[in-house]
Amino acid sequence: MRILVVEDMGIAADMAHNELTQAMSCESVVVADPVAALDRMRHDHFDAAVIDMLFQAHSDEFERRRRNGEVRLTDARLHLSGLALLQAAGMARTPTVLWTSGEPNRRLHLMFAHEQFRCRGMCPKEVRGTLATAVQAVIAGREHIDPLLRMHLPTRSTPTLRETFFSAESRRAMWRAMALGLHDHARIGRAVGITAGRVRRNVEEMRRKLVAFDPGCSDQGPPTAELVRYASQNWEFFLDDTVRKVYP
Amino acid sequence: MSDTAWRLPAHWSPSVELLATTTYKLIRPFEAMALLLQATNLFASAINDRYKPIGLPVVLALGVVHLALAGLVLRHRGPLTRGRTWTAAWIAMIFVVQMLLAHLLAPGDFAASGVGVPMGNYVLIPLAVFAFYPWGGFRDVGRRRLIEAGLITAIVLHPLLILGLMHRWQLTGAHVRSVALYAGWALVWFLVGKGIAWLCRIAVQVETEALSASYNTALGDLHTYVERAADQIEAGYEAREVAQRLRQLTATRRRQLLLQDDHVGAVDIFKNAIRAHGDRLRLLSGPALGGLTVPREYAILLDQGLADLLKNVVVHGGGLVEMDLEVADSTMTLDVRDHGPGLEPSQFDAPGSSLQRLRERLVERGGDLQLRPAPPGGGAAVRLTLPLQPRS
Repeated sequence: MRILVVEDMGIAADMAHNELTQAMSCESVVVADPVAALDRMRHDHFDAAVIDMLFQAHSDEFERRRRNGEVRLTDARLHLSGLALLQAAGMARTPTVLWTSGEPNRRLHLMFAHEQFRCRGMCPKEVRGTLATAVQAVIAGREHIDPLLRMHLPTRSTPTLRETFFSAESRRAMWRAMALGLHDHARIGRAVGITAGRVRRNVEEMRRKLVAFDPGCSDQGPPTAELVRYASQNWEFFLDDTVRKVYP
Repeated sequence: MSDTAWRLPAHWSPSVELLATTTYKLIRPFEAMALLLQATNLFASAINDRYKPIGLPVVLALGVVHLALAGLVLRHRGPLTRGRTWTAAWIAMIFVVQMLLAHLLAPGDFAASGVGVPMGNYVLIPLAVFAFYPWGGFRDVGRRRLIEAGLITAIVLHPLLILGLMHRWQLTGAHVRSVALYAGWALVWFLVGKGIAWLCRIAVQVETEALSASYNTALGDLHTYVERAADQIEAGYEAREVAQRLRQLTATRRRQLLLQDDHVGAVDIFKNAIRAHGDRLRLLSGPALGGLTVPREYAILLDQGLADLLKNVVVHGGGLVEMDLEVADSTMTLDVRDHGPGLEPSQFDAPGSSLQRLRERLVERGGDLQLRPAPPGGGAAVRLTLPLQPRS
């Protein structure tokens, strides 16, 4: 049995490799870089994949370019995350376990993985000795979501990410423009290809949907300021390359 | 200009973003204060200046309108943050009102005394707000100076235009002296606005430095502890004990960093509270939190509440916990249940106990902490409620 482990942090990769090889007597192939991992998934067969969500080197490089204003919404590739690997694994029908620490900047990624890719294997890095169980479960077609990561999933009554952020093409482009750091209606409009007036007409409804999704967000005060704050805090998600591919 | 008109430059820094946020928060009360002072100025003018018979009710009505506008701006938003049209409307209103009042004054009274322009402060007060406002963004200095110069010039020349129209450009020395004095006051009000903007920048700088110092302290301590832990393991200390201490420290530091944000992910608060106990606490079922975030002041309270409740579970409740959370009408309801021997009402209600202290803090914020009936199978069950937004 061959298992692909995509993990950029040395200690975590060693932990995963040791646990899988000891508990499952399998061959574990560790790849640190997501681009290299995508290439491996295209050419090799794996019985299962263990995928980290964010890759520091990619995120740091993208963040530097974002801060310098070098990222465009039309760029060939936006921010690369484990969602790209999850999508590729889904297309190859490879059972997958998300192996993540679930830090704040991965919150929406985990929800997207569950909602869009129906990911049913989630294992936290900090809980020892459960990765092999999770991998065995997904290979057998069973769900294995650790209680710690299950907290990331929404209640049934919560609007989905699709309903909240991706219902209209212009609105998702506005979210992305705000995640780039654009604050004023005119510049957001220019980046998206719509007028400032249309941006202004959209923000109130976008804020209403955001508050329905996250009641902790404020429904008072200027809507654009709240949307910009939310987009900036979650730029890794709004500028995710796979999210853009799924919702162009 | 639009909703948040100050643009982030290409090479923006967190301090520029903080400056934009601080300025944006200050501009609304500043605009409301300017309108309030304009209203006061109108009422004072009704008493001090001589008006034609029709002039007095018009001035008083304008005062009331400005008073109402001040209230509206304070409650909602002011013209500067509403976009170009509203800003242009405010500037136009200032010029129109000054022109109107000049014509409502007793004939020959406008700028005839040589000591300034009647109702001059009505125009000059908003000039302080215009000087504070970052026209064109924080980096586009050229554009900002151009707009400010245009505004000052228009404000200073406007009384001259009024006098020219009223006296067919036959101006007296007193007229010129009045306008010159008015121009001097315009400069003073403009500098007052600039001074406030300068204080705002100092406040932001101090806040940034304090934040940076607190990060450095937190991370510096962490490095020292990690090095010490490595030394202890090398020296033969029980690795499990060292790991437990490190885990607690990491959880504490993580909490400190997490609670610096304006909004904190509920899931991060819960996970951190659980992580702090390592393998002494086992989560049997957790709440579905999804993308819920909690404003910082409530996040701090939730974090403290969870720390107290989970400590109780570890110390008295056998270390097994079930949690469930619901959000309705912007209020969260958290049910925590353990599998220990249970909690007597007398223990829960004991004055000065950690749970009662927590309850007091929650009640202060519109929340509560209640002991629930013992669930089937035993154990203690408590319910924590906490609003997610301030109650109006």
